[in-house]
Amino acid sequence: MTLRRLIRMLWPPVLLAVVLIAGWQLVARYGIKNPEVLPSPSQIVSAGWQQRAALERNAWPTLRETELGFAFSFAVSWILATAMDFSSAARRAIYPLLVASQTVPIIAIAPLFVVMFGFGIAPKVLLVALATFFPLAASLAAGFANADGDADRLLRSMGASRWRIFWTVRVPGALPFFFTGLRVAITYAIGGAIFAEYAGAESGLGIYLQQMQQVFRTDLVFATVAVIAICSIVLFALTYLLERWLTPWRKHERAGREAAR
Amino acid sequence: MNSQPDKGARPPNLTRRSLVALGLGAGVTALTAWGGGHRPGESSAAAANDGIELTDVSLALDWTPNTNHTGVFVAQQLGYFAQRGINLQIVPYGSTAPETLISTYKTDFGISYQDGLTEAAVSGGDIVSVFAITQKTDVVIGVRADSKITDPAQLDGKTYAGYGGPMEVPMLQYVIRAAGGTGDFKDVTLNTDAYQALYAGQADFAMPEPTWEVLQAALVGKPLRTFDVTEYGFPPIYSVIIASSNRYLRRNGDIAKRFLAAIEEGYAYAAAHPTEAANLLIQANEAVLGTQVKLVMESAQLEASQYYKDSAGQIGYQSAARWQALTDFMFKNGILTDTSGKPIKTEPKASALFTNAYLPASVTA
Amino acid sequence: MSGDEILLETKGLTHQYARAGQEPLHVLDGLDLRVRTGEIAAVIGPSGSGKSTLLNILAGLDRPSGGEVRVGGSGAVAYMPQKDLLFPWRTIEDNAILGLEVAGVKKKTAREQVAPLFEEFGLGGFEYAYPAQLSGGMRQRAALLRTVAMNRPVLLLDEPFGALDSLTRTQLQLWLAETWQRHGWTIVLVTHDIREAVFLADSVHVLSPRPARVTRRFEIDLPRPRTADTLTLPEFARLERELLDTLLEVSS
Repeated sequence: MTLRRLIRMLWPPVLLAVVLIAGWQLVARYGIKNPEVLPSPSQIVSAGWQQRAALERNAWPTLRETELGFAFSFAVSWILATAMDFSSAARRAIYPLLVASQTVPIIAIAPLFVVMFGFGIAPKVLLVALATFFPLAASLAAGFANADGDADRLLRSMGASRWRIFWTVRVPGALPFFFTGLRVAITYAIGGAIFAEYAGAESGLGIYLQQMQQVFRTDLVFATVAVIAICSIVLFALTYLLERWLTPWRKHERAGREAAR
Repeated sequence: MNSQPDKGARPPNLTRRSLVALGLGAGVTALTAWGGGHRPGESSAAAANDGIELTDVSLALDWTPNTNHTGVFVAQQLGYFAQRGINLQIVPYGSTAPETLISTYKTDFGISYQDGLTEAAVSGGDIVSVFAITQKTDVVIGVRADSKITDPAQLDGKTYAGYGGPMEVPMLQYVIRAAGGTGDFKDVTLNTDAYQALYAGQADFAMPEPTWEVLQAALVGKPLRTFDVTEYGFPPIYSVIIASSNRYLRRNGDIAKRFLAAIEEGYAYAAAHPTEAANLLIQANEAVLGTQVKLVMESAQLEASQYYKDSAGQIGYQSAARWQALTDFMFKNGILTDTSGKPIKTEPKASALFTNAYLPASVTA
Repeated sequence: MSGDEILLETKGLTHQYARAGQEPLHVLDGLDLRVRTGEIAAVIGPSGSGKSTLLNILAGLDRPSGGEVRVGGSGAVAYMPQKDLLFPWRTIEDNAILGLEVAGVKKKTAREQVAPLFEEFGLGGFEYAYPAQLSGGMRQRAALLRTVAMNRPVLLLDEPFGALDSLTRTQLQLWLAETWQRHGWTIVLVTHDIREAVFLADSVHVLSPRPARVTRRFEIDLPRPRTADTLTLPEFARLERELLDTLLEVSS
């Protein structure tokens, strides 16, 4: 990706964002004029900068919960998706439960986890895992299912075992699907950690957010939200980088489509 | 579509890259798992107290730290707990109620309130009140000072912004009827935004704390007019109490006594030295209260002068009459439900809901 | 010229599929196929004549219900399916060594083995390219390279040029004839294309509709090497016509 292409890609959304923020500043400063209801972007930035130590201190536990929950979810989703690929009985048994896991409302489950597991990191890790599990597992399962049956036949005619077919055909073929699911999961991950903290925690961005709400510091509430958003965006960008690193062949596919136009 | 005809370099080994990525991921995970494992909140049998073994005792808060908690933080900051061999662990407020945490034994003590504890106990929770922090009812009916409402009877047909607690509506109806109204009003659950809703004019009345939200409203230039519920005959209640589980008390009676002794000392200090106590409260909760100094100061003065001590000058003591009065009210209004959610048939024994047995001798004498 | 030794043959090959609540479906019924070492044997027949079943059996993916299959040499057939099935995540080189990898050959050795073939297959310089960067014709050649690289005694090609446009198809047919001339592979070529069968093959086996057997076998005596000139020989047209007539007769 050349610098020129990057700039060309970025300037429209950046411009739009700038316009929106400027509009917000004007509305807040000259329209609503009540920082408790709607603080202006400048107030948010200065308040956030002032409290940057507290924000940083609380960011680490949240990121930690996100990381561990996500890692757990990653491992389990690979295991289950692989099992579903190898055994249709497993697939019939697991898939409906997989879908059900997505329907569980995190907000309701969070207090239950706290009651079961206490205030440590365990309930938060589990909650993040629950929030991220379905997109990962479902996308991976779809990726495996997408494998070409003819590719299977070809490999079998070469004398390949089931495992060899899995490693050489199914896994690489599923990666693009997996990355799509990964992007979705990332957007849920930090949110899951925040909700988990609401239910009971000693520190974290979710707790800090609540505390600021309760002392009517709306500007710091927004600042915390901004920090959360920035963290999510960074993670999101990392998934793109990771995808390009691990699936370099796809840039030729895109080029091919463009050339054909 | 025949692109570069010269060979170029062999593209990187993707299998190796994947393994590298996995390895990095596993490494980061391992680091986060072990690295952050030792946090100040985790239990440690021997804290830094000259090597003397301290017992961990947890206290779950009911809200962000405020002047109802002053005695706790004073005791923490001045070492009253450590002196008695206790390492206090404060559990911040979350969406799990302290009553639940207490009765599921996830916390040793918690900040609660009389009606909340009564409901929890009657529906089967293992919970009992051991210390009354506020001796005066810390809730009033509030309307905007510039509204036309000058009497609770005028609340008929208006909108109430509350927490969704089962006692709010019966309590308000009682007061409104006692004032001569019918007790019909709209009830909207807004949780923490109730007071902002009042400020923004979206609701007509709420039930703020005189020691916090009412002062806050005055400070931001949006004062409230308040109606004292006890003036209309509503029984006085213990708005802020410290509760524990019977199981904990049975097993750790001695620790409980030491704990409450420290608490008692803390509130005694707060009652005698409100300004210093306020500073200690802020010091212990810089992030939350550092920007609210004026509010904390005013609130601390108010609590010290009117709320911590009862008519006999005692701190923490609970009267059986007061427990009985509210239990009667809740039972008669069908507010109390059993484990299956149905209103109970027999009135519960108020004496099972509280105990003064763990208060320091100086109080109970 | 091909030898007289039979490298691949089927005797009385029969196959049927069970169907729920119905008579089993008879797909092959007494199919006899004889392929000599070093010859290109075309197999041609109407649609639905069970060609894919025959291919599966020859490729070792299915066991026949009856009859026998014999393949000389190491007994294995290198199968090239209709779709090129080049894996997009592998370079052309790594696609080419797939068969060898599966057989347990180390990557490095396998890469060395296939390296000399690239130039000949018109893929010189594209070793490290990805399939998405190649044209259709090049991909088919890459798939054929992969098939050839497996060093198995018989190549089984399933309509290798079917998905290509007419000009590319002809180009590849010419190229295959020339390349085969140098290597002398034994090939079973399944095709729909009459011209292709006559141009490339030494013998053409015509299948009947289901249940299939070999109804007629043509020897194609056209001179080798086959080039573009072959296409205009009067003998070529005559053979084409004969094959066409046979097919029409068989299909009716």
